[in-house]
Amino acid sequence: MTTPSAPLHLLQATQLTKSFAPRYLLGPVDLGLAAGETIGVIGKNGAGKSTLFQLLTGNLDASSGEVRLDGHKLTPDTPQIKRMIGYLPQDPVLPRWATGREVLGYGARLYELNDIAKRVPAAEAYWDCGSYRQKPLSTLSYGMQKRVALALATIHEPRLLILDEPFSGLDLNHIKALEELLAQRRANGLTTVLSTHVTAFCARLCSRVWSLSDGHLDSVEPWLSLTHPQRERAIEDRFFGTPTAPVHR
Amino acid sequence: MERLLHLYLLWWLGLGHRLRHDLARELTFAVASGVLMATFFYVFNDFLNVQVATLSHAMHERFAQLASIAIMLISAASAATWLRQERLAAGGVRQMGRLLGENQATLTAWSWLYALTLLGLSHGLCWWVIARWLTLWSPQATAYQEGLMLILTAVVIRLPDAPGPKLRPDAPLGGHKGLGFTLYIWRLRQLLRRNRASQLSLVIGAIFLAFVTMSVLRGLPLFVAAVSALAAGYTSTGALYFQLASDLSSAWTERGSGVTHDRFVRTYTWLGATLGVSYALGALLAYLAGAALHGDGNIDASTIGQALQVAAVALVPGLIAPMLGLQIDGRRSGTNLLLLLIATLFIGTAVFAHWLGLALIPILGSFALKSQAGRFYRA
Repeated sequence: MTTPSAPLHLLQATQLTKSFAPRYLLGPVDLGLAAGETIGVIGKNGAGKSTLFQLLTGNLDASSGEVRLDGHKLTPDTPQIKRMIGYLPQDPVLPRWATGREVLGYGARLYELNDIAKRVPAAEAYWDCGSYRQKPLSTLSYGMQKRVALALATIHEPRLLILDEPFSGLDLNHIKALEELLAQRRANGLTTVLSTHVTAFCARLCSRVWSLSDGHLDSVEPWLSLTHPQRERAIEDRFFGTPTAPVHR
Repeated sequence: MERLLHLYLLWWLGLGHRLRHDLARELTFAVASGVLMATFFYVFNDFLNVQVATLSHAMHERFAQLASIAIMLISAASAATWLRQERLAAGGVRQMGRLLGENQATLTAWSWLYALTLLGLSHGLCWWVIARWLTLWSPQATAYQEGLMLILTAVVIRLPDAPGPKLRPDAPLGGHKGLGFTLYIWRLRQLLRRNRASQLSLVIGAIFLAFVTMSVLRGLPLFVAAVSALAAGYTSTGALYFQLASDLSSAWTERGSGVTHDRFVRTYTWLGATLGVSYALGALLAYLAGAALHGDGNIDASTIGQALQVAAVALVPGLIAPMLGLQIDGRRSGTNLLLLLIATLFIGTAVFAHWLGLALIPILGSFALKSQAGRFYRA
């Protein structure tokens, strides 16, 4: 029996729906995220992955249903609960004329972190943003801005991290850094949800994969018992609807 | 020729799709604005007629000419901005044609065709408004002004991209000083030191403050000083809307850290009050300075009363701007500025007519803040 005071899941969504008149409807979605899980979400462009993430972060009001984080109902007006989440949107627009250092310092203050003078340089160092920390963000490349956004989403070491297509625009070094971060989070019992179109990332990093299609969320099963190539095949089968031709790997 | 026409058709179709996509909202806004403006003139018609009657014929003419010049400047700058965007933007028809391998002659012909269409529409509309409502210039004067507008358009199109601001070395990271203070000080710094549109608004506001002093120095009716103060308050408050649009484009950074709608609006209320009080004080001092210079240093009680009246008018836009910023779409500064103009004309005129007009501000606030509740998360 699940109760708000003793949740089985870190995050629990119940009968969650979102409709955009006149046509699109997401859900109803029921899901639970346990501590330490890394969940991959796959789906076609426009399937509703970003909408689902917005609902899970409490940034968007659901048409019906609810999201509970650590037993507490999540809404746009629950700042203390929302701070348990780190979120990277698909298109992380940052203030044009601020510097990376300023944005991270600002973010750290918004999260009311205590050791700002240590956290900000540490985040810059991990995401390799130190060399351009004094440049206006509008003068940086997409990948460089994305690293600042990743640093911002993770600076408070959130219990739940939601990443919308985090690998796009990153170079190999920083893809590796992100993979290491996800592995470290998993080892530390922290939960991550990410969307990606790269099957290899899902196969390597995720403990479960959900497929979003026609507004409905299904789990890709079986998963844990499969090898990485088999997992990739399972995702492709789910994505294309029919088993794909054998692939020599 | 066929491909040129195809590009031209593509542009018109794109414009049509854009209009159709936003049609319901645009129509609602246009009709609501029209109704509000009509109501404004209906309510204040008698009061305004009395005030305008105190102005001389020459002053009327000068106002009409100033308004005409402002419309010409806006028209020329808007046309130049659109032409510049089409020339440089990745999503423009010209860039798309270039990427698809279209030949240079067709692209050049397209650019000319586009420019002539746009200039015809924007400058034509400008001259129609001026001739219909403001002033009738001779054909020679009209040709001369049109030439100047074309030169201004060409200069703006050819301006090099503005370099990034020279940033000072990082301030020490320090600790946090409360969420409200952090949100306020971040915006104030962006608005004053980084956001160019906001900076321009503040400078134009300061120029209107100089008009307050000039109107007193030249012995013009109080109405002129009040209009200048209202313009100072209004244009400086534009800075708030430019910053709001910038903030909402990167709102995910604040939403993620648990900034609530109420907290966001409260921050803008403080910022609006800061700008409003600053420019109201500026208007007060500008009026008193003008009066002191005009009357050899003698300032009586009635002059102080008039200065306070002018300052109250300048205060209005800053106080009401946060109540309106999220009513339609906070990311569209132009729409917000139009909405603010209508509300400012209403309340500013009421305040100038009688002190009790200030009571309209909390009344507006009680309705407006409710109707935009939660919009920080929906913007």
